[in-house]
Amino acid sequence: MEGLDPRLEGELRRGVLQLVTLALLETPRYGYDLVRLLGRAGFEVEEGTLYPILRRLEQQGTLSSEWDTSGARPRRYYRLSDAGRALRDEMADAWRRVREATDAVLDNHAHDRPAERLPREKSHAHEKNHAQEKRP
Amino acid sequence: VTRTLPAERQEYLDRLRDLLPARESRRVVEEIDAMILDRVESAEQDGATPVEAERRAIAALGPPEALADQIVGTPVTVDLATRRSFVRWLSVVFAGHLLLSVVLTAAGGEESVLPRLLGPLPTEPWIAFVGGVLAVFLIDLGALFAVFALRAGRRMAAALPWNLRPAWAPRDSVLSLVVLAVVAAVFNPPVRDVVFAIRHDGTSTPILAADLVALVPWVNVLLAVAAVRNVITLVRRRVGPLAVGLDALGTLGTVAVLVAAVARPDYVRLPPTVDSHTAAILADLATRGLLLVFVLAAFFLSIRLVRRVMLLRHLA
Repeated sequence: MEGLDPRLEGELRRGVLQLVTLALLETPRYGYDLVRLLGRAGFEVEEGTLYPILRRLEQQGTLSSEWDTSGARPRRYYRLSDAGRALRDEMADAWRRVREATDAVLDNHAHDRPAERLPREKSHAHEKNHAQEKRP
Repeated sequence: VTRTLPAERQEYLDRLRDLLPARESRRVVEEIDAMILDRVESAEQDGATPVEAERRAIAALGPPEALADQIVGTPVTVDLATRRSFVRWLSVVFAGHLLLSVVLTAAGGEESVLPRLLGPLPTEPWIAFVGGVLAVFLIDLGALFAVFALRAGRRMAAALPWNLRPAWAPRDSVLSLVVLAVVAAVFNPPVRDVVFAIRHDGTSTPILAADLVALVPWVNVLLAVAAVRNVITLVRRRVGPLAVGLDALGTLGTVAVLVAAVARPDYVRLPPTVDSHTAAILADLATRGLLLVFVLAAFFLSIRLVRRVMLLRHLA
């Protein structure tokens, strides 16, 4: 086994990129700073992917932004709005539910051996019986 | 090498600006530029050369077309499938239309089935036949443009078979200005009297018909409009409504002048010193050549006009 295809892992991580971005923006940050932070946290992302997400979040009112011209170069800083905080918390709850459900499936079925699986017909019968058992 | 760095970044940002709706292009381009500079600085600190740093920064953004699509939320560039679909439809519609016209011509009918849209093609002279086929093609092209534009609704710009926005890089504008200057020189004295002239026995006689020469002042006005458009593009470095509007106006005027030129009875008038047989052959050749140039130019400019008008609506 050579390990997971990085593209597959990338897809998994992209699914939560919006949530992670919201989580990191409790402190105001500029675009490239965010790219670096995400990279350090294990979410390798490029500007071409992150920028449209920031724009979309801002248009939804979950982020606000402003130019900071006090440094050597002007930079646009993004920060969470109240709506963004609420969205982050809701998404975090949803993420926990998804993670628990995923863990449950993995714990109960990930180590099923092929020999233990029922043939197609038996499987259908098994599901039917199981459904009948569950009925009150 | 370092002199090419800003140009590469500028090219990327210009392209991105052209692809985005006017209301948000400025802000997005400024932000993307800031991101590029941050990435360049970071890469240089990590030991990358300026060239490599710039290249990495631009690569991290992906193609400007893809980035613009992501930012706008709908495709702002035309995907290959749409382009193929347009070409396929145009081929089928044109083939069917032409076949019907040929059948009607072979049947010897005189009346149009649908006035100005479907009917027998003229067979004599041959240039009239070519003009008829071209007219069939133009009708189909226009109809398909309309269908694609209507079908797309608000995403009109994305659904058309090519990107509506011209590149209009500064380099193109400078080149255009040079070409316009050359054209102006060729169509006006004294160069005109040298280029369009027959030399015989040490004397040079202009050969352009007075009817055609009478159009030259209009040509000069149109060249001036085109020059102003290029200067605006050079100064503002973006595709804005004023430049596009001027371009549309100039294109419309050029099509009108070309149509007027096609309708002139004579294009050349050879001096009496040329014997009548040779004069007839030369005049015929010149007329056919110029007619072909006028018709083809009118054809391509008509397409350009449609694109500019649609872009103007999109910008508005």
